[in-house]
Amino acid sequence: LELADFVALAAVFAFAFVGGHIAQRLRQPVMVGYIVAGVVLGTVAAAWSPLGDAMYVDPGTRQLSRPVQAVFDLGITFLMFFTGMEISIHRLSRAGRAATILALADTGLGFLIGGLVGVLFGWSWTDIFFLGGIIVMSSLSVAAKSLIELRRLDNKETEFLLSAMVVEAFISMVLLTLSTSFIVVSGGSGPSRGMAEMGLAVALVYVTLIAVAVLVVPRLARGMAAIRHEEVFILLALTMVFSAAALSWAFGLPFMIGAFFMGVAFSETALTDRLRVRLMSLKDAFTAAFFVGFGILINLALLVEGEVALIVAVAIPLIILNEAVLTSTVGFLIGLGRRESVNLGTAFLGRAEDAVLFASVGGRLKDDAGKAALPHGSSLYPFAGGVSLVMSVLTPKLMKVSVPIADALASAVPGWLRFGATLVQRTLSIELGPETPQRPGRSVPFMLTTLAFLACVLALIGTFRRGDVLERLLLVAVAVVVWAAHALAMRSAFRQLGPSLDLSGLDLLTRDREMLADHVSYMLSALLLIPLLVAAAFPLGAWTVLAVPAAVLPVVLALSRSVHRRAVEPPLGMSGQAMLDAEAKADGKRLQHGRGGGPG
Amino acid sequence: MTAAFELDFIGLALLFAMAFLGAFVAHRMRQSMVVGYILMGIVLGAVSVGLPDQVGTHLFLDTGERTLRPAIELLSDLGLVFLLFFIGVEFSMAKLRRAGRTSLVIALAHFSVNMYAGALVGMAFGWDARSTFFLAAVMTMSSLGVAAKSLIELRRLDREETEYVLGSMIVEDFLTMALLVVAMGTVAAGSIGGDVPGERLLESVGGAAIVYTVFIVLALIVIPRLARQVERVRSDEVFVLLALAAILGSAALAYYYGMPFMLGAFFIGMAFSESRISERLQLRLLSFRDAFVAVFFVGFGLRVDLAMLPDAIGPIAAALAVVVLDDAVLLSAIVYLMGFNARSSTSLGASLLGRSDDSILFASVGGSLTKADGSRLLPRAEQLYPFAGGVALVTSFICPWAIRKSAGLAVWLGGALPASLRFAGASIGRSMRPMMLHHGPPGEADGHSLLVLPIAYTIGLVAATVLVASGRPTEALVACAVAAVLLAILHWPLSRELGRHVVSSELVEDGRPVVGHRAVSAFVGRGTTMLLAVPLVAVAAWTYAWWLSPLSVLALLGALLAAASRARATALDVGHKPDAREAVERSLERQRREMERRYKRRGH
Repeated sequence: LELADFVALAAVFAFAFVGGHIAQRLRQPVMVGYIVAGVVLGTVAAAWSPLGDAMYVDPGTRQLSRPVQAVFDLGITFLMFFTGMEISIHRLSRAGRAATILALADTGLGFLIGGLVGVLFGWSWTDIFFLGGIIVMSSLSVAAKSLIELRRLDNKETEFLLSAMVVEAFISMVLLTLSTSFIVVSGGSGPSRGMAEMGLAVALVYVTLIAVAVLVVPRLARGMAAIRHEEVFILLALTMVFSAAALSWAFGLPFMIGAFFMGVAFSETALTDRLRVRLMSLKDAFTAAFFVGFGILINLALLVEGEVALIVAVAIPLIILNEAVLTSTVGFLIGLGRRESVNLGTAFLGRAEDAVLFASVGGRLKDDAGKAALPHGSSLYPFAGGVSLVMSVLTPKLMKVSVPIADALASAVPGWLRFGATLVQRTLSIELGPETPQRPGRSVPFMLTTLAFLACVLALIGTFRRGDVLERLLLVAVAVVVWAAHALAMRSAFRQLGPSLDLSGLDLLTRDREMLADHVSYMLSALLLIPLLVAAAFPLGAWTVLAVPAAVLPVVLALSRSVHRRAVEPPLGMSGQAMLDAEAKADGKRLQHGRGGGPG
Repeated sequence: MTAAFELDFIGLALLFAMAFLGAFVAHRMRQSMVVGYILMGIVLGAVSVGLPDQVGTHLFLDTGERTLRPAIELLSDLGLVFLLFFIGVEFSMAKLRRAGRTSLVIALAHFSVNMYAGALVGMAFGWDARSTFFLAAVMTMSSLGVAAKSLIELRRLDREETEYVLGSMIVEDFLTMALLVVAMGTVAAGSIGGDVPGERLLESVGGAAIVYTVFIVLALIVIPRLARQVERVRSDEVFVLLALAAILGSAALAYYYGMPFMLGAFFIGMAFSESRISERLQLRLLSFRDAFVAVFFVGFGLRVDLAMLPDAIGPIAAALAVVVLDDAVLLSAIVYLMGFNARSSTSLGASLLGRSDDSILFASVGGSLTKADGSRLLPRAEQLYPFAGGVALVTSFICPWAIRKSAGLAVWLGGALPASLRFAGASIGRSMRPMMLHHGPPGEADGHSLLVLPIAYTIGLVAATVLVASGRPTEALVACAVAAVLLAILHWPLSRELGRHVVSSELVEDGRPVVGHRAVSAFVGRGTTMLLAVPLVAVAAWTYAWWLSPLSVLALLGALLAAASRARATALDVGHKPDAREAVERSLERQRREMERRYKRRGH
């Protein structure tokens, strides 16, 4: 090691300390302090060459110097390992379909917004993927911290919320793996690979990691628990972390993926607490170094030159709209109460280490020539930095006022729309809720078509860069057919749910449950048309992101209006009571008829 | 390097896997972990040379040159930093003071005997002065870890000598660090072997002075105040960052002033050691130490080039023989002369046999020294790694075994030694015992001359040694002369003090009580002075030629033996009238009165 190396490391840790300390004093997340300290350090170093030479290989391109890069990478590794440990497979499997749907919806909406912003500013597709990733990645730690501070840990929605976030983090990690391997050939020393080879590598890594998680780690954990000597224990733990990183690295994937999955594998063992205690100071220190290093990478000049400040300014309202309104709506539709769903939506607002991580993966991707693979790679750093700084400061405040937001939203929505949403919610909460004796078993065609529909949307997204028009049209046609089949399957499934639908408190003038179920299924099918059409039409231009919902949402609204009219508003010239009587008569006749025919 | 830097995770994984294996196996086999780390490092190094493409490239930039990849070097250097920081933090003046005079003397004796022997080995194999210096240092540094581990395993913690083993190790740690400072100041600046102008020496001394001043100010003024502030940093997360910044910053500071970076870490540790946050520091940074120190040792093993082994095998064998002889026999003898009983002495000598972390430290410091043009400073750097590795592995392996066998050694030595030697040992040892092994504050009877003069003499010797090493024989001789004068002056109060403690009545040989009390006490005084003169003679003779030094030491010891033989003859009255009953009774009477007088005096 040379003098410059020590100076660089000492500077990183000293700035991290100052930033973290001040942030704690101001009752802000330490991460905010670290990143700001890193930005300050980077700015100072860029201007003052003695420090600049220590911090950067080349101050112009902001390439980190050896030791800083090393602690940066170690920081990511530890961060990912610990993030993985939070995500227990147990929790994932318990999350249930509701949380999965919520996470999928949130991820989809986030990427949509990312696409919108990226296209607006003329970024390329690969850039947009990472931009979307940053916009999607809700921070589990910000949410958890604020939930503790607001004493909401025992709330009904909290468990659900955490599960959904875990699912989301998992989805994002999988996406990150797939994307980095398919978008660009990894930034390692590995040779360039073809698509098929890459797919094989990804599959191999997954299979190996799953095998390790299922077969090796539980056995190993029992052995590790028997190691009483802490030094030996730490060495074994680090060996596991680095081997997993090495495995994914050797196959050309980002190394942090391996660390993440190793964390997931360990999350199921009894060792998590011991690992946390033993590796805590390593994790704290290197994570801090990672954030400071990330701050160093932020080139403040790009805020103006690269319009990053503007992008951040555009993205943040969109994120707030997405989470606080859209995700809350989804939460409401799948069965949460009004306030709970807004609590949930605001908790999803936090952006912190995961977003930073996405940016730092994207920013350092290299193509075969060793150049940055993303045209706007270096803008990702300030973008993620800005978004995560603002959002991690803002989130606790917004979470605190979630109840007034919920009330405001509720009063802003007209009655007929609330009626439609309530119907959808009650239907879905039976469908997604636990099995009860009152309700029939799940409909197989419905489940199958749902999966097929998801696959179609994914296929449409995955192939949108292929130029073949015919192929695309074919795919869209198939997707539309699947959608139609799904709509039919859903209708029949919901009709079967009809009898157990909870209709209390709605002041219904009709008992025609079949009509209600049909409308719910039509509304949902219309909503599902949005992702399908966006995925299909996205190559035509960014305007589709806005145009499709603008075209489809009126249909949904009209459906809601019509079901409200039919079920609640009495027809002209007939009082509500008369209508009820007429229906009761009809029902009674039907009932008598059924009874008569039964025993006879 | 301009290319993008990447952590090679395959290399890291390999490194940690081997470290784990080494630690695990060593732990199972009840060996020191350092042994495990180094062995695994050597294995990994050999494998990487055998499979350069699959393994080697992940660890080395160049398998032939054995330059580690930057990331691994970074972690290994961080390991060194944490190792030294922890040595520093566990240091405290209070601990040193508690170690006491006896431990100090044992440590000094052990240190000088081994350095001397190491210098002889290096010279004998034709190594240059600088390399010899590091070779001697590698041979000298006993390992507290190995000793403590062995003593715990053998359940010897409550024995008399254990306290002194541990105490002298602590003192020796101080000596180690002092030596490292000196080594860096002088060797690196080129004063030993002297091919660098004096300016640079001055410069480096100036740098060292600045660094010392800074750390003294830190330790005395800044850190105690800072510690109170730091205590208020509740969050451990932020606290760790502060600690790391302090450690790395002081490493950078030391580096900036031309000192080795690990000294900065050591000093900052020492500065923190007396503060109230030292425990919290140790607790929080423990995992850093565990992880990175392992990397350091495995990295050391990686650098050991087995191809160099044939070149190093001679020095290793010689060094092993010499180390065993030094510690198990010579040091035991010295300790015996200081008044320990035979079993304690050999057990103490055997406990000091293990060489591990500190030796490795010296070897890697020596091996990493570079000239301005980037080439290795030490011509023998390549051999230094396998040398230190071999010595450390073998000694820490045989240390527990030697401790177990030490009692047998004591019995054997007791039987095999000639009568005159046994007589010399017993008489000097019993006279020294009250001086050395009394517990509590030093009595007034010691007098100031017995404190000041030995210290002055030691300083004179050190000065003479340094002068010899830096190739200034004339000045060295002057220093020797001054030391000789000091020793001559020391002789009188020393022999008077020793004479008071001579208890010749307990010296019984073959059932015959000793009668010649005066002869015994005269011999004790003379013999002690002669023993003290051994280093002086060794240094003085070295100014002429290195091989003359051991010869003259042997001559001096021969003279001592002759004197012992004569004194024994007189004391036992061998060859005179065997029935001199009167004389015997007179002598016994005088001794009884002497005892009574002392008893009374102590009573007041």
